[in-house]
Amino acid sequence: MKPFLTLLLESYRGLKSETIFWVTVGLSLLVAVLFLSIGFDENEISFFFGATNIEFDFSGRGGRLVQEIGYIMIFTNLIAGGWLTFIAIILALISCASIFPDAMKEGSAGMLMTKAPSRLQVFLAKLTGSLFFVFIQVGLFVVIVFVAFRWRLGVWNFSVFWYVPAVLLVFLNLYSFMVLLGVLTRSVMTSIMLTMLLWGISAGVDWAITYHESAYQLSQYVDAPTGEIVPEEEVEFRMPEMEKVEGDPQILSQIGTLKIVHSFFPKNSPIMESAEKKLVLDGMAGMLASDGGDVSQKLEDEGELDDAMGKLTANDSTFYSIGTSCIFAFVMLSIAGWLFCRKDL
Amino acid sequence: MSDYVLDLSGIRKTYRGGVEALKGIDLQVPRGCIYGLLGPNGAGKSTIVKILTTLIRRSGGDGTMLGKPIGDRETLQKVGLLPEHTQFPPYLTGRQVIEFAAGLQNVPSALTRERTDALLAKVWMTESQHRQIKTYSKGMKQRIGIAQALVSDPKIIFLDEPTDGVDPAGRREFRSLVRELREEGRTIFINTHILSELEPIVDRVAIMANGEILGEGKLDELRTEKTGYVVGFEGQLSAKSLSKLQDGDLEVDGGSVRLPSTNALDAQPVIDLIRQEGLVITDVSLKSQSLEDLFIGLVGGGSSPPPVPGNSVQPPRIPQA
Ligand SMILES: Nc1ncnc2c1ncn2[C@@H]1O[C@H](COP(=O)(O)OP(=O)(O)OP(=O)(O)O)[C@@H](O)[C@H]1O
Ligand SMILES: [Mg+2]
Repeated sequence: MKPFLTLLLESYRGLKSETIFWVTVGLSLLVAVLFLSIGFDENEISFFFGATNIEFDFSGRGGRLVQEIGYIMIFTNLIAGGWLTFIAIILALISCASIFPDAMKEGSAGMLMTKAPSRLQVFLAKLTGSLFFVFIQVGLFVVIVFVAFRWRLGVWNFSVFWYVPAVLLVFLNLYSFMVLLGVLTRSVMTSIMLTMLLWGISAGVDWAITYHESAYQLSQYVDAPTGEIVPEEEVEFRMPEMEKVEGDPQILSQIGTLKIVHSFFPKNSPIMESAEKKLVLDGMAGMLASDGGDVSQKLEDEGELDDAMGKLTANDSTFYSIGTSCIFAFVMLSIAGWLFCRKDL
Repeated sequence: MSDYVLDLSGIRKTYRGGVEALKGIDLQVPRGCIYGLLGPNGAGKSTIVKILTTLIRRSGGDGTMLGKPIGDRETLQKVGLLPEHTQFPPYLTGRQVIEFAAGLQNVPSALTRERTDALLAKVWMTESQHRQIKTYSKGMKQRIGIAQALVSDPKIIFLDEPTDGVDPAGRREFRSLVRELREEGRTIFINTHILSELEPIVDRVAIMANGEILGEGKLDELRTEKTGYVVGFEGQLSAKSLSKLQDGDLEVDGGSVRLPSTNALDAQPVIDLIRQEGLVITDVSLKSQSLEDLFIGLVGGGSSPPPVPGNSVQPPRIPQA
């Protein structure tokens, strides 16, 4: 146990000695505090703890609830969508990219891998160290966001903490691939570049599936008299004259193929989306409960809300995404670990 | 259990790309000695040490270290290594490197502090212990490298080019440190191509080149094998006499002829031959070979051909302009 802890401590010291580590932590805190600094009241949104503000009349547009939804939207779109899913993960990947190639350099291997800990222990310690770094970084960030929600919306929204495992899983997916490349090529640059490529491809496949799915939905509606597919922008106006038919089988088979391809890739956006769903739904439920006002009466019985939440969160695709992503990471890490234990250094 | 701390037979290593670095190494190292492994660059010395410390995998052969099969993790806890191209984490201080090694080798925390202090003093690094490695000179890094190798109280210590970058005073300190380690009952295995380093301290040497061991034994024994009369002269021998001497298995080197014999009578025909040429004899004496002569004799170099039959070693020669 002691050698393993020593390795962990050493990984952490190594990270700490890199500038990129502090840049990442600093930026992360900055973004969290920026979010914390956004406030609003009846007729304005303020930024930087009230240093600047924009007039915005909420009273005519649904009042408090709209403000609150707006606040959550800022979080999901900008903070979670932009920062957490994208920049924070890129920074974390770059910070951790050199860990494995460095450990395998002749000079450091002579120190690390000729002693009591087995190579597998060294591998696991380095991996744990990287994950721990991301955990700390995201954890800290989310705690600040959690406080922000309480301060601005008046609810303790524990669902934000779902972002911690979600970001960790997304990171692990990409990182597992990066570790494999690092062990194979021992080149930091190559592993960063190819990992970004994997990310791009998996995002591309994701997007292609969404695109084809909406195309398929459109193909299900035809103009009743002529049997032609109704163009997207006209669907809304021509509802009465349309009829629902079997969609285009060709698109369906394309979706099938894409989904098979997709199953081999890490599923980053589906994972982040499931965290988002949890957050939004719990956030709404919390606000409605604390509101006690007009809106919550519309959803008189709690059951209705629960049903809606259940449908959104417990759907198969979440488990499918998480499951296949875990398998992806496991396979990548197994190969990487096996190579790491066998390679000549 | 064998009395050897290291017992290797037929160890082979072929690197990816086909370099045959070791061609069947047999080696026995007795307990408690200073063992020198000598060889020119690329001989395969580091390859042996890397196999023993699990940095690389052997392609064939077998062996034991401290009575356990090569690669046993528990055994490695009792093994110290100063690797060839050490690179310690540059952000650590000298002291932290030793403590890091102690942690990896499962040294109890209570002992770590005390041992680290002692080792720092031993390698004369107490004063610079709190400076970061990246501020150290080459020789200072090497000292810390030796200290970290000793922190687990190892029974066998591998030092790969230990005095690389260490100044003359440091080399002397190093030699006394190694002797001290032997007194404590440890076995010290030193790789080097700097012969003068080993001569005063080693108990046994193995000389290797091109992945093969060419000679092995106690330094004194190896030397007496090679003791004989040396006839010194002034001037140039004719080609005819030269080939005559060489056919008689004598080593001719510039101004001297070395005989494999300790009998003074055997030197007489050689003296006659040289005098017939009209050359002046400057010196006739019984000499034992220095380690360097032994080395050059076995590995090849200078004008003497490699004496070991069937060995294909070509000494590296610097092309003449
Ligand atoms: N990783 C490697 N891949 C391919 N060949 C290698 C590798 N490492 C060493 N070699 C080759 O194996 C042979 C032995 O190398 P080794 O490092 O063991 O020599 P050495 O005796 O330690 O030399 P030196 O005195 O220069 O340290 C050399 O021919 C070298 O080129
Ligand atoms: Mg070497």
